[in-house]
Amino acid sequence: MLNIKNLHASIEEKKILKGINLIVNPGELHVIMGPNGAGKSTLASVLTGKDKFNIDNGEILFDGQIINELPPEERACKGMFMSFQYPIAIPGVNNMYFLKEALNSQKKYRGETQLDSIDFLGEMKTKLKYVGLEESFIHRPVNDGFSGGEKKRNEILQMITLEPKLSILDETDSGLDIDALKIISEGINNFRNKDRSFILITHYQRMLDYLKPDFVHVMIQGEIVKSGDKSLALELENKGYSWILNEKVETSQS
Amino acid sequence: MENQVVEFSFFDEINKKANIICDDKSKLNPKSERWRFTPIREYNALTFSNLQNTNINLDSIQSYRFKNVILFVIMNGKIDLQLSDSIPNGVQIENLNKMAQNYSGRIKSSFTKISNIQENYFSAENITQFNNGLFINVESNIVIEKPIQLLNIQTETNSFPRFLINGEENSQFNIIEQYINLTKSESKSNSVVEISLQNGSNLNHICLQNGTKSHWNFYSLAVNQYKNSLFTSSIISLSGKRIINDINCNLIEEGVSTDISGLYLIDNNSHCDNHTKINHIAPFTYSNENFKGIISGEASGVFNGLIKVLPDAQKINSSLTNRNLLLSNDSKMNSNPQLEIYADDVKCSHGSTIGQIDGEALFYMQSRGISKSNATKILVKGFADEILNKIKIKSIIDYIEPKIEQLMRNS
Ligand SMILES: Nc1ncnc2c1ncn2[C@@H]1O[C@H](COP(=O)(O)OP(=O)(O)OP(=O)(O)O)[C@@H](O)[C@H]1O
Ligand SMILES: [Mg+2]
Repeated sequence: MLNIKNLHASIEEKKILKGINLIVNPGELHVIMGPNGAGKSTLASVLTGKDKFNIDNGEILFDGQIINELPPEERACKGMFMSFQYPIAIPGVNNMYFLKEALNSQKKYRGETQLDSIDFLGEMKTKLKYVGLEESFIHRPVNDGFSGGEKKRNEILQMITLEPKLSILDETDSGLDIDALKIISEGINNFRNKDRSFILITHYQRMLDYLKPDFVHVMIQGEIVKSGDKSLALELENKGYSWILNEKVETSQS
Repeated sequence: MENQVVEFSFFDEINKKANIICDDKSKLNPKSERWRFTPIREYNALTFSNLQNTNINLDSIQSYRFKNVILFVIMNGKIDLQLSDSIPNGVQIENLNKMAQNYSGRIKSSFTKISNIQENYFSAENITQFNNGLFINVESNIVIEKPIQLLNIQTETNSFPRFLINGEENSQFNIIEQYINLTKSESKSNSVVEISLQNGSNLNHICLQNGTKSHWNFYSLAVNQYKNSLFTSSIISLSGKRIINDINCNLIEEGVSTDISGLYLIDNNSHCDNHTKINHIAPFTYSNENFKGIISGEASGVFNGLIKVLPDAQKINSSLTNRNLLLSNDSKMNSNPQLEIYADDVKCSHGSTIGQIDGEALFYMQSRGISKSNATKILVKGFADEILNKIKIKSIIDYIEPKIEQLMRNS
């Protein structure tokens, strides 16, 4: 599904990603953890095509196709999705209109029939329940005046509506209250199947109790320095990141 | 006979004062504060003297009719009753000369006084040049559901429409003022609209300005509001080479509410200037002003908004906002909202922004599958919607929306 080969990326001459390699197969859930400023969100932005970052080296393959130059909307239409760490508010643009426009743009790209407003509203009503949002939220401007947690729920609402193959969830858990964490995790679990893959960026172990990841990677200073299974997340929660850095220094010295 | 002599001196007096102002060329000094950001120097070099008259097909005029309106057609400032609908009950529509004969008191004395000629050169110029002018009176307690569409058609190079609109006590009515320019050469219009709203009257007003690429549009709107009256207005500038709007609202007695919005769409190398002034004269008066601009190409704009609160005007509430969206790197905007407050127990706020399309919002939308051009369209439309939503009439929104799309194509 996704194959990242030796990816180097920078912004305004500042190198942020320094040779990322990662393979995500259909149905897998990968977790990326790492200290603040490691480059996790940058990786998510580069994968989804934000053009203010420069790809200096390496390749991103999505379903076997190199997508380095593909505009964000085409990546989305091919099945890529990012839940933003800091979702943008768009005053003046109605949430439901926005989401319907997004879904229909994707359907059009794939040559599928588009939904009319009535069918779409019906579909929304069921989906809102999965993320625990009131119907009033889809009639408000996109994320405008939403609380931190409400924005994150709205991101997941978009995910389950657009049904992407690959979902990159950037700190979806931060800002969620304890109940919401459970509701959202269940929503994601229901959405999982053998074809859908996930990259989950997080600082905490708590969501992983619900989601049962296949792999956990540690990113430090723009590199994936260690990978393991879900026990690695527990270990990080107990010990922090410094031991990995020491381990890395030792291996590079030997 | 005696009556006519009186009327002659009535207009003569007014004319004399206006002429003095028009002779004072310092009023059009490009270096003066009023014209600092508007190319009046360019105007001073023009004459508009070649009085050309463009022939038009009278049948085509009906195509400007909005759905479900009472239409009045005003050709070069003069009403054409043949092309107009019949005047509804409870409404008087007549020539301004007739008004001077038939009316006295507040109505007559407010004529040429609501719009301040000392502060507004073009208001004075209109007095010296207008030919017929229209007086519209809505009688007390009359409710006119259908909007009155004042369709101004300009076929001559120089036109001076003038209106005096009076809403008697507790009247309720809607006016759509529309300006269409059919001239083919450099042209100018100088319109003055004076409105007086008596106790408890309620007017919903829309002004649609649609000039040609070589049209100078001077537009002065002045409103006197008395006790508990409500004035809602949307000033929509769709096109024109130079658009200069001068808007003045006087909140004279308690309980008055004023809500004015503006939307100016400017492209190519046109220029739009909005000077507005809200005068809180009495206590317990409320005003809300929101002007928005979308500017593309090499166009430029000026917004100069003043809220003035006089010493007696305690417990007033007032808000003034101007937001601008620049669609190109070469477009320019100058925004200057101001408060001048002489009372101490008031709630006033003002703010202005000038910005381009938010790149983060664009990326957010693209990342959901919406193309960049479509996302831009949605964002621009979203920006304008705040003003369009106040216009409850669908056929008018349908008239404005294509202009917004055209603007994006020209950016
Ligand atoms: N526009 C920018 N200009 C300069 N530096 C930037 C810019 N955007 C990101 N960076 C830098 O890139 C580095 C990586 O940022 P990134 O947001 O990817 O970190 P992160 O791993 O997601 O951190 P966190 O856990 O705090 O979310 C940081 O040092 C950040 O300051
Ligand atoms: Mg981050």
